[in-house]
Order: sequence, then structure tokens, then C-alpha cells
Amino acid sequence: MESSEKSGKSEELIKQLELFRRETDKEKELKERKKDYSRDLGGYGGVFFVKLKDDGEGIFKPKNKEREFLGRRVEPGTYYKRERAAYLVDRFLGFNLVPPTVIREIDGEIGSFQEFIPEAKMWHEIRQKDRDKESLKTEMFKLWIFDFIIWNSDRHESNFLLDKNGKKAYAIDNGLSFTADPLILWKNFDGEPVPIEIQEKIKQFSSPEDKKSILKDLLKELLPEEEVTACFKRIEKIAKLIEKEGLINDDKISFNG
Amino acid sequence: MIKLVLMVKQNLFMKYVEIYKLGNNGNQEIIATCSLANGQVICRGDRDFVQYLEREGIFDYSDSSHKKLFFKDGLKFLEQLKFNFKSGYLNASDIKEE
Repeated sequence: MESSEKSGKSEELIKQLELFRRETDKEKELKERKKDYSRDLGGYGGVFFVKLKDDGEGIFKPKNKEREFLGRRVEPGTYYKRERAAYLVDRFLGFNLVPPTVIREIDGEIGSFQEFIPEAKMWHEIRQKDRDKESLKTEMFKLWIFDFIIWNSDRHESNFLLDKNGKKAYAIDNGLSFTADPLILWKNFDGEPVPIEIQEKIKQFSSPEDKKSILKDLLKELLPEEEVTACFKRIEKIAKLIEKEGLINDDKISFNG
Repeated sequence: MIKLVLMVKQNLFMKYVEIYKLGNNGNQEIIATCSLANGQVICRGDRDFVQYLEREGIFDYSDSSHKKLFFKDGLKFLEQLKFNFKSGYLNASDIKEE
């Protein structure tokens, strides 16, 4: 067992890294609580609302019901892992956009299970004057950068939510991410100054190195290695652009960074 | 003759898609119904949602062109609704006929 003195890491840092390595309490709840009931929500691919015993609800998407999207490289049967991978990237970045997402079995089917957001609003339900508020703009800016990082080929009006106050964004439906498919982004903040709050998050992600390597190992369990490598290159590129210019020009970011 | 029968049949059976919004208890309510009339799509339901659909359109997932589809695109628009609304919070049905 390596002592903190020997490794040169502070107790605080070791504790922090340990927390990143472990599942959060919420993830454990989502993974371990038994199903109370579920409702098939219909539509393309399988989507179920699942109520858990002892509180908690989520959206379950079984692997076996995943269906093809024409013209995309991303393969059915991998979406559920990409949902979890997107959540992990978000958690390590501290963006707090993706609701806790785990992989678990429900009724004999394996799939992604994401915490349900009650009273969620869609973009069309937000009044124009509220859309223009600075706090919501920062959320949308964060979503834009996040979608570059996970290389999302499917972000549109119905794939993100807002809380009941219309102030906080949630990135959902992240299954068509991480492959070299053409990006579909929601808003475009090309050339606009990146809010300080987001700059800080990106900076914090870059250090310490150990945090990055924990995420890398976790992602390698979910995605092909080349996709993990490309994702990290994009984060590095974004960090460099922010450090150098305080803004991001979208034509400077490619799938491979 | 067969062509005529098919044409009559197509006009008799109206094609439509329902879009559901998920409530807190897992129940779904229809927020809009989009149907085909004279080759164009007409949506009825939640005013803000329908206006949004009309203004912004939806993505065409049948290829990687990122093309947007609008009401004027008719059947193609109806066919692509289920690929756009599949998150669980907003879901579109397959095309139904009545």
C-alpha cells in the first residue's frame, strides 16, 4: 500500500480520486433497488418508465430493443453503453448535465437506466424572455461544449430537458455519441467568450492526471479504445483553445481533436 | 383499376402520428397529433409545441445529410417523427391509420 507521503499526493487528493473511482450513492440506488412497476412508453427502440421500490424512478432503455439509425456508424447494441459513458464524462467534468445513468438488468434485459427528471420542461415550454437569461445561456453553452466532447450526433429540442424553473439543463438521450458520425448540435456559441464557470471546470478536469486516467479506464470498459482516445483529444483541444483565446471556434475541433 | 382502388384506399385511411409527453407517474398524454392531408402535414394539440414543430422542423434520420423536414414534406415528415421523439419524455408513435 503506497503511503500518501511516498506518492506525493495529499490526503485530500487521494480521497477525491477514490470518490471518482467509486459509484455515487445515487448510482448505487439506481442499480440496486428493485423494480416496483414499469410502463412501456412505445416509440422507436424500447423506452420504459420504471418506478423503483423504496422511491426513485428512471428511464430504462434495453440493449435488445435498440434499433438502427440509417446513415450512422453507431451500432445498435452499443447505445446503452454510450449513455453511461456520456454520464461518466459529465460527472468527471463536473458539468452536472447528465442525470445519473447506470447499466443494469430489469426483467431479464440489460440496458441503460437513467434517473427520471420530474416536472421536466422542454425548450418550447420556456418563454423567450427566460431563454435569454444569462444563467440559462451558460447552461446551453455548457451543453454545446459537452456535445463536442462526446461528439453527439443527436442533440435537438427533445434530447435535452430543463428543470421546472427553466434554469437548469439536463442532457438526455446520449446514445448516439462518441462515433465519428456528423455532429448535430443544438445552439452554436462559435467565437463567443466561454463563461468563466465553464473555463474553471475544464481547467479542473485537466488536473490531476490521475483523475483523467480513472475516467479513461472506466470509458474503455464501455467504448472502443479509439473512441476513448478521440474523446480525450477533444477535451485537450478545447482546454487549449480556452486557455489561449477564451473562446472556441467550432471549425477548429474535429472528431480527433 | 388496381391503381384506382389503391388511390381510394389511401384517401380513405388517414395516416397520423401521436406525440406523447411523459408525466411524473409514468403516464403519457397526447400533446399533438400530426396527420397527412393532401400531401401536407397538419398538427393539432399543444399550441407552443405545434408552432415549434412548424417553425423549426425535425431532422431527417434517413441519411447523414442533417436535412430538416417541415410540414410541407408530408409523409416523410410523419415517418421521421418517431426518430426525433424517442427520449421517453416526448415519444412519437409509429404511423397509424384510421
